[in-house]
Amino acid sequence: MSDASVQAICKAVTEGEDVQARDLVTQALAAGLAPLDVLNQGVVAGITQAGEMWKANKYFLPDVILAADAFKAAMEPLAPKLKQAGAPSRGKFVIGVVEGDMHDLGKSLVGAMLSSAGFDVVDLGINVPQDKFLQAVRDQQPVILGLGAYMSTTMLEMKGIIAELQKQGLRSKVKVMVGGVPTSQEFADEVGADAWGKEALETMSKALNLVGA
Amino acid sequence: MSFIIEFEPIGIRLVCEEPVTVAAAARQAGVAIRSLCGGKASCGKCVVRVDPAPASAPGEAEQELLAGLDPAEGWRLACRAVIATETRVYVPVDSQTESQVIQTEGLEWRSAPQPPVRMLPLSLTPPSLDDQTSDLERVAEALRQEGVHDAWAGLPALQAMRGALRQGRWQISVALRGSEIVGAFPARLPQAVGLAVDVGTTKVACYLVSLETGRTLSAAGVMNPQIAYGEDVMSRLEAAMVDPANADRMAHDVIEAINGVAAEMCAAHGLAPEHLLEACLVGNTAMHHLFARLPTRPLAVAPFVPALSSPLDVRADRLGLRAAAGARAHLPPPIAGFVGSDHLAFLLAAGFGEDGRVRLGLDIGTNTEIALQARGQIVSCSTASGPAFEGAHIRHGMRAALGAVERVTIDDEGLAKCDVIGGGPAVGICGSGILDAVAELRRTGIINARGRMDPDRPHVRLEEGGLPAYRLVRGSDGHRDVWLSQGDIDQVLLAKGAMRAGIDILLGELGLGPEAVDEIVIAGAFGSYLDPQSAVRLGLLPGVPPERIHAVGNAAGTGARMMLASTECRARAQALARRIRYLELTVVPGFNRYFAQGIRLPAV
Repeated sequence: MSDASVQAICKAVTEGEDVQARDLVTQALAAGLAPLDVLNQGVVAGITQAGEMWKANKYFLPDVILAADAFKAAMEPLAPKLKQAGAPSRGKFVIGVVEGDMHDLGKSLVGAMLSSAGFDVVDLGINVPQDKFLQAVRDQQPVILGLGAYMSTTMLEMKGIIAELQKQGLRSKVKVMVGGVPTSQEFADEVGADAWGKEALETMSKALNLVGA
Repeated sequence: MSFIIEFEPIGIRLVCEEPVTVAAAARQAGVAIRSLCGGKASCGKCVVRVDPAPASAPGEAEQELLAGLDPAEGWRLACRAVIATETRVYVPVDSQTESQVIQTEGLEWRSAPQPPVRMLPLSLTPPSLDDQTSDLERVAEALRQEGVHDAWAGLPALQAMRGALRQGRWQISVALRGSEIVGAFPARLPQAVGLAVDVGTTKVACYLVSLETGRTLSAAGVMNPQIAYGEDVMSRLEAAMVDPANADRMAHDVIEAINGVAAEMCAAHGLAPEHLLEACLVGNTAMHHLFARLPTRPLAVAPFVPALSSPLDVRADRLGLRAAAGARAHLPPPIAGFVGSDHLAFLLAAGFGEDGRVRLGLDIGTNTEIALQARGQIVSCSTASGPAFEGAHIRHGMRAALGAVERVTIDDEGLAKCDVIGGGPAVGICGSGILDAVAELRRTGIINARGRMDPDRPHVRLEEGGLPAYRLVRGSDGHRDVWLSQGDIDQVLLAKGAMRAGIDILLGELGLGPEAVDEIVIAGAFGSYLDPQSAVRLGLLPGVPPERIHAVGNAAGTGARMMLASTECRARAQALARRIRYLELTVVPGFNRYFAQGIRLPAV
């Protein structure tokens, strides 16, 4: 019974059926299934499969976008239950798109992949001012801070953020990753980041490396 | 080595830098030559006489279509004849289009336009000891006799007038902008001319226009030298952010390029830059701010706000433009951070806002600006489509030049048949070819609705890295194969997804579906070459019948010319600009869904 439920959830997420995914999760939880099982065998399995199909050139961006949306929808009823259950996590990952930049697609995809990898993702949103990033590092004490920018003009912000972390004595307390279309390994080195994520899947595996997983 | 192509009977001269087909040159110059087959050498409608006859002889298909006309006498198909040297092209009446409305309306005025500047010849009595009236008062008095009261001159015009009066022995021509004297010339100037410029990100199109008749005398294009600072707008804005001196250099460089071209065009008509009495410049907002030396940082980051959204009349010399002493440069209004006066010029030339039809207008480039006219409203947006349709980020992609595959059909065996610009061996593939190729791959099922290539089909190989690629052209005579990889397809899908999302969002905003669209108008070089059927097959354009899709060439250039030569057009443009409602796509809820939908390929 429970097997079929989590499989249905997994399928709904992979196929981008957001409403269905949310409803199935709500039903499963009401039926008494353990939140961790619903998470790992249902929701995470679903987004992981989408990621794999992307890697295997079966899925392209729209399919991944829809799967990420379904993942987000499925997590709505699930996240509070997980908090209650004290689910283990690889640590907090604070993510945001820098000030002046309004693109959220990449961040959504990365966020979904990171959640599926076991990180507790704190999403600051888009157009995030420097001090909001700093505040989040102080308050949330994440293992990784992820900065995203999708325009060559806004990615210049990242240097300032990292410099400010240094100034406030926070740089050694957190790993910093940067990503987004105009960024590169060279750019990441230049701004003093610990790692660069070329796209969502790579970001996920590099994040795991950074925490020694 | 640049050379001039002169089109008769219209009389437009085009300055060219590299070998070009007659059809391509005609498009650049704004000369409308018929084409039913889109340049495939199958309709035979584009017959022209080329003098001197081009070096290469016509192929079999062309010979047949020439139907007895002798290529040795210069009779050729415009879509096939390649010109590389000083040439005159005669376009017979039968080969001229009648309903390329945009082009002709820009070139020939039905009624006299209202020029911003006019020339008045004056015959003055020289001063003497009995009559020591100053130069300016003497001229002003003569002008009063002509009905011009309160004539005045700024310092530069006064400086020019002082010498002109004596050089012309008191017979001068005065250029008047309202009651302001903007230029004074000894004796009679051959004609009153002005300069219209479409400052494109990649190519700057310049036109020498008669301010008496509104007719275009010359057209010339030059690559925008700002490319050295970045191929696209964002890179240039970034360069300006990194070092303000870059902004100065970019402004200087583009204006100098314009000055160079303008001087050449003037010389070809026996004129000099000092004879340019007025200028009109259009461009996307970043281009506008760069050459006007307005700070650009606010354009580079959200909320992407321009300095102004009204027209600006600036002294030409303030911009660094070489023109008559007091000449003005008219800068029509930008619409938004990413929708500039070039888009406005396009809409003006294409007659947007003038009737009740549902019309969609697209200017396709690295950024694609889209406007939708319906229900008495005009809404507009900008999408970052990326340069895939210009050949960038495509492995064997190239601009539309000799050797580029420009048309593709794929047969039942999965074999591609390609038309190459210039007719020689294929060297790469350009925008229209890329569009055709992906549409054909979809039609034949080689790629599915997700755009995924089927590795088991003929002519598809798996590459290192495990992704498939399709061979378009088998190389011969030492030329390499031309391939289209999965990655190339992805680039195209992302580009068209963004554009389609923009279109769908605008239609949604006005509560309309694609079936309501009466006409789709496409500006830009790509628009002139694309096959409407391929565009619909790809899902780039909504499913409207292909005959409702029209290319209008460089309509921004036409609009610039209209606004140069007529103050009435300037007023119309300003009114149009005020009516346009700009939609910022990044704040549209569910944009990602529209994007996802736009990327998918339609059912076959």
